[in-house]
Amino acid sequence: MQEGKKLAIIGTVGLPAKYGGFETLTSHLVEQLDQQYDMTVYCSSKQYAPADRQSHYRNARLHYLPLEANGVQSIPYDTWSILHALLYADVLLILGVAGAWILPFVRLFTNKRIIISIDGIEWKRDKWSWPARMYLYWAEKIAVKYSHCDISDNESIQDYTALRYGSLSNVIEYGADHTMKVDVEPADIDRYPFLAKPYAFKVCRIEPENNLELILNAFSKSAPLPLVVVGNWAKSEFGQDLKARYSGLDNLLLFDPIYDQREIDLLRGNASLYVHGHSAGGTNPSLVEAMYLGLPIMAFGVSYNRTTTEDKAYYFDTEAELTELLRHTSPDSWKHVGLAMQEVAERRYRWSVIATKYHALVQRACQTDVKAAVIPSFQDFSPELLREHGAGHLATHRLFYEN
Amino acid sequence: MLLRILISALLVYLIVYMIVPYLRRLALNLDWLDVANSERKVHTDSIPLVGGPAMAIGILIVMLVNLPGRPFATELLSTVLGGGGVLLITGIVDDKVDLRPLIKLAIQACCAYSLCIRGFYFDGVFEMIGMGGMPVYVQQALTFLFIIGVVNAYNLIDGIDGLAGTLFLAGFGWMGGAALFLGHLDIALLCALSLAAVLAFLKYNTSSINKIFMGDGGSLFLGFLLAGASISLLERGSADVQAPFWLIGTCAVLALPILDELRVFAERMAAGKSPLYADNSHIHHILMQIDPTHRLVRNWILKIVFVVFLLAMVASYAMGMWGGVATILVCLFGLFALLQMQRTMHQQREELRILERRKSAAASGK
Repeated sequence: MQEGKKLAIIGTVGLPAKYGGFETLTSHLVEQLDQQYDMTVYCSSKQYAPADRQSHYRNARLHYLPLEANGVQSIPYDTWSILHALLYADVLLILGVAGAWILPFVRLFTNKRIIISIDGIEWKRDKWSWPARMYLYWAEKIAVKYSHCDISDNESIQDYTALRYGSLSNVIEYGADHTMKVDVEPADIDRYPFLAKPYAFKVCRIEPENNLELILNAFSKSAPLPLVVVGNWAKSEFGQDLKARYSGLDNLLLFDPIYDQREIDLLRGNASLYVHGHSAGGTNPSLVEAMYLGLPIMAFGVSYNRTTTEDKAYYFDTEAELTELLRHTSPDSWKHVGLAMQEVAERRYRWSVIATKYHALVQRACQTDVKAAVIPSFQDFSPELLREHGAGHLATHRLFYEN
Repeated sequence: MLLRILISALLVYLIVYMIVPYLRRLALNLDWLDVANSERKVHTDSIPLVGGPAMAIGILIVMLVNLPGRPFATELLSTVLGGGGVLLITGIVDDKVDLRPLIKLAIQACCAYSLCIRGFYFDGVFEMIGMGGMPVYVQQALTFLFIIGVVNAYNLIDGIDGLAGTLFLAGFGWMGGAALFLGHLDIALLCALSLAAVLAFLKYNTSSINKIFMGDGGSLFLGFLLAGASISLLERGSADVQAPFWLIGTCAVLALPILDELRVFAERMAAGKSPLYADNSHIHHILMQIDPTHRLVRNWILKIVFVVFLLAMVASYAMGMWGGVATILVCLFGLFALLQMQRTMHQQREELRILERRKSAAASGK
């Protein structure tokens, strides 16, 4: 009987969700699974003012810790959460590898089930300093080695873990059906005049790995429609500099972050084109949300984006390619792409689907101690032996990532 | 005496400093340059290889001036300079003509052998570490290996601007100071002159306009001097009350180049390749993956040597000689483990970049 198992979710900023992908994921997991599990979510009291700290979110208990959930404090934050959860939980769902160093001890001394999500290959991102990258590189190894199940949010990351660790990661993405289809009303057009005509849209964190300069350049030079970008420009020097340089140009409209769900979905959902420049690892929540809204997508041609969109969108690697795409594709063909995106999203990126996958994963974690290896066991036998027994074809078996 | 050493050092500095421009011109005429012709080389234009000869000329002149007279006319100096001179000439020839590695090794072996034969081998040191009582030819053989090891270690670590020079400064600085303290003026003179020569060399080596390299000639010559000085110092120091102090200090200062050399050899042999196989796996190559600035990497390495030295000295004071040895080994092996992790991380990042650019199987069919 799985009912009543105690599940602790560790590593997020907290609920109600107001930060990023992990938080949104957690709130939907709670909404979908809180009848099946006795859930506890760890939150950072630094991000919730005392008046906003609830004791429960739906049926899940909220436990607050006086540490930041991100940055260097994430290490003690996750560690403390794990240690605390060991007191009562049966299954620990850990999002992010900051606390992974303690997992060997947890496996050694307890029988608790560990499921860890390794996020998007954090150690290769330039945004971290060298000591941070070394720690994340090592922590990811520990996380994969000492967890019962590990989760990648993208099949391309599954390829990477297969190559590096020889183990099979579980691919569970994100849902997008919390986005709303918002119709434009006259009052909206007063506030945002560009809504009256076709426009392209992009929402992201303002960081170099999101290829903003490339995209802003392509649109400012010669684009058939204006580009609206929503992001946290003021947060970094890089962002401030970009905003200063690109604000005045035609065809570009730069906005600060919008937190109201209706408002962001209004601007996003009514766009004629969605541009996605993200190049770091994994499935981006903003991309799947755009797909669910049926938007035609031009995405940076990195393997993760292609996998998320099932190779059915437009892709660019350089400013020249993006300019080409803008010039040579027509709004009619965009519509087809938009429909294709919507089909993919409705099939794969719904929270009910995602929550079911997590549920299945928790059950599997509770049943087995052994992690699935990538290399099938028949490869232990020599090709001669296999041929002798009429199984020679197995000697030339190619693994899923060797293409 | 101290004054004489100081003046001699100053003289060497001036001679080297002034002689370099002339040698540069000569080098440019004779095409005696380190051409940037391989992936492994870190520089991009041709640099005159006059550092070695310049330093050697300065040291030799001032040494010869000082030789008549009691405190300095010891076996050490004449032997070391003889061998050093041979290696210098070998290095110069190699820089121009590219001798086969075995020939270079043979010549190094002869010079090292000559040093051992003339009485410079570890004896008291072996007593100190509990390996006393071995026959002389074994002691000489092990000393021989030590000399070859040191000479090549500094040759190999001469990979970025000022690195070998700075490490030589550390080596000669420590040994010169120790020699002065113990009253061994010949060693002190040797170290002081070498120190001054390297300082003058570094002024050119780290500049961007008048850059010169020391070349194989320079690193072999200075390496030989360093090896000779350390054998002498350690042997005489082993009779001193504070013997472990001198031993650990010298080990700490020499440890990084030597252990890095051994590490690289071991890794190459473990991979089935020749130890002399050229790959970018020395400490400075790996540190440059983190930041390619020469000055930064050089400073990091110097800081590492300094920290290891301090810790080893403290440990040897608190826990005796073996404490010091253990500290050196623990620090450097720990460092190497970190470097190895950085190396695999860098390699995987490169592999990932290729993976990410890959279009998926479906697309390649389109």
